[in-house]
Amino acid sequence: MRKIVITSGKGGVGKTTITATLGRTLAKQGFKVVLIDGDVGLNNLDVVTGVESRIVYDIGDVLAGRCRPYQALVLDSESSMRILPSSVNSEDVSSQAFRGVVDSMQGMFDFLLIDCPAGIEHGFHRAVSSASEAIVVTTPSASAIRDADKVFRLLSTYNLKSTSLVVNMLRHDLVSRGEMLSPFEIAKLLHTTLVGAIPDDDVITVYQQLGKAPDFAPSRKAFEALVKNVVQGTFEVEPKRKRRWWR
Amino acid sequence: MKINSIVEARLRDMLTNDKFGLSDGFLTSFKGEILTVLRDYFEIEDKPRVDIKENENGKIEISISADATKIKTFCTTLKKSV
Repeated sequence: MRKIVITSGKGGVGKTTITATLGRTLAKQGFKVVLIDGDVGLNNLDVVTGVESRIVYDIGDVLAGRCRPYQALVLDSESSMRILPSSVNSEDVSSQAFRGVVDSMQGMFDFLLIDCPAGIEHGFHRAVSSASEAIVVTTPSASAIRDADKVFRLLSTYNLKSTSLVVNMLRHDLVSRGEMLSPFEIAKLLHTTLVGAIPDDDVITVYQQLGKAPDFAPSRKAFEALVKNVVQGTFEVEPKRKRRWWR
Repeated sequence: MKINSIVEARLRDMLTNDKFGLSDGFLTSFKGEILTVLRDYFEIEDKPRVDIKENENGKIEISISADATKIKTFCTTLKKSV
């Protein structure tokens, strides 16, 4: 089972959306996938995946012994992936306890994706210490890139099999005009491997509010390329979108 | 100059300073000492330009450039008239 933490440092760069969409795309390609919301207290993975009204147990119940880990898993509304919701109580969950829950899923799934909380505090270390691989999400903004650099330096202190980069909210029109850094330039600055370049997608922004990820989203091909890179360890950038007349 | 080139240069400085803890005091002190050494060999008018960044190999790349009007010669290197 591959245990991948999706992190960023800076909040609002699209970690949860990418975790959910990556998980769904993997599931639709036939892999067994489970998503774990690593954000205790400010959990959002259930909202983004549209399962918030179907939660019976969460990780807090698992750790308190009120249920078994598989009983707390919620089936996604759009695919066969499962979601382990986080606790709404901001009580401290130790890294060891979190790792115990993650390890209990061994053998049940092909991919375990951990949605890491924003920041580099206890929640970050709790999530990363349970994973064997890390994907850092950034946007082309200078502050997000700076925070991603700090995250990569922190990740280098962990014994991870691989760390890689996904650039989100990319505007190919601005990149082609030289007004925004390309994902390759960002990866070069951060001295890391680029595995995904996700364009800024209004369809995802709108449908995420409904907990859905439609197949007609323009970023669908980018997510399929990301999945291919994650599964095979390769990299291919999504072909540029045609420039719309209104941009 | 394109905006992304300016942003890239700015980010490179920012990330290098964050990683290696370069402070303004460090750079001021370093430039002052470099100027002292350069003035022993050249007639330097302005302060040297120092660029410190991390290169592709993860090593610190230091570039120093300065404008000089004259090279100072030492007595031992003066040509003797025949």
